[in-house]
Amino acid sequence: MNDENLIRYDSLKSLKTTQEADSFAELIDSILPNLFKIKDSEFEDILSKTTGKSNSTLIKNLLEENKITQTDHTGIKRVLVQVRDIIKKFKVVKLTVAIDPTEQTISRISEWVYKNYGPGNLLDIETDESILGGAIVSIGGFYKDFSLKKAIGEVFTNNKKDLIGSLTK
Amino acid sequence: MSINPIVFFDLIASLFIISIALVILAFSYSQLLKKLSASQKTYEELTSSANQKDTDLLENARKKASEIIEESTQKAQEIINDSQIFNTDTKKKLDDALQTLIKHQIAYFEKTSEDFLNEYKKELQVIKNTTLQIATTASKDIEEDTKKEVQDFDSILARETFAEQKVVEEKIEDEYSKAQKQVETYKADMIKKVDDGIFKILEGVSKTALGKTIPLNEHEELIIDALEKAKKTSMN
Repeated sequence: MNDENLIRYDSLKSLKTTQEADSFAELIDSILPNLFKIKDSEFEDILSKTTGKSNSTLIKNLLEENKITQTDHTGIKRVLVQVRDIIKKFKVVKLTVAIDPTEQTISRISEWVYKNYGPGNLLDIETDESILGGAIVSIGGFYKDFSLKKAIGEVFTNNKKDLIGSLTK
Repeated sequence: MSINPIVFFDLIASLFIISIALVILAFSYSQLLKKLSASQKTYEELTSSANQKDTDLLENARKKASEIIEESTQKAQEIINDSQIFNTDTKKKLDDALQTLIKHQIAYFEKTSEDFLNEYKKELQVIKNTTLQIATTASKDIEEDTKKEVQDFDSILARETFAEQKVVEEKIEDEYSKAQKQVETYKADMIKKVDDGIFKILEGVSKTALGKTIPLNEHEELIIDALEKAKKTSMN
């Protein structure tokens, strides 16, 4: 079986942001050296103790998708290594927004990115209240400011004379 | 050893010639000695004669000198005697003459002095008149010159003052123009600053108001809109 075909990008859809991806990669890095030291039955226990529910579920799902049992440490290792490599290949959609995004907001944005750019994209979200709203977007070398601050500034600049005229009347 | 006969005869001939020459020389020498002896004698006679003549001459001269001195002394004595007599008379006459001469001289000098004084006075008067005339003329010239100079000075002063006034006026006008421009620039800058200030305040207020009033779902919509726009823009 070809290693490349083991994992689909789709399977990692639950990794929405770069933070989540980094955290998951760190988890894999911590599991791999100790994988052959643990007993066959201990994998799930250790997994639930060392990481959160979402990451634990993701690993289980990945193993299930590839029909690898938790006692097959060799198979587990192969899957985890491949996942780690795939994560490194993910593209990053960088956004600067005016609010601290909630899970719901991140999910909504991630969903839009998935629909429009397909799987294999991670969100890197930065908060800057001064932009007021909207977002500054940076995708694969493309950069554009679509913030509310800029939009208002353009409106004021384009209508400066009229605005000052109306104020000084 | 044998001698060539030719050489031998030559030697004999030579000795013969030399002998003849010696004989002639000895004869000539004896003749010369005789002449020298005669000359010596003549010289001594002449010297003796000359000495005698010198002695006579000296004696005659001494005698004549004594006579002349004696005669001279005698004449001198006579002259001295005569001169003493002459002195007494002559002195008196000379004094008289001198007195007369002095009187004449005094009179002459007095007259001459008076004439000279008169002439001097006349000349002085002439000089005085001339000087007075010159001084009067000079005074008038000076006055006229001074007047002319003052007039010239006035004229130049007026001209210069006018020119300076014009320069000052031009400078003032220039400075005024510059100041006016600066004021205009400053005014425009200030108006622009005020406008910008108002604009900034207005913009700031608008942004603050908008930023605070946007609800979360609106924010999400704006972010999605931004992504949509980014997609469209990047595709174009």
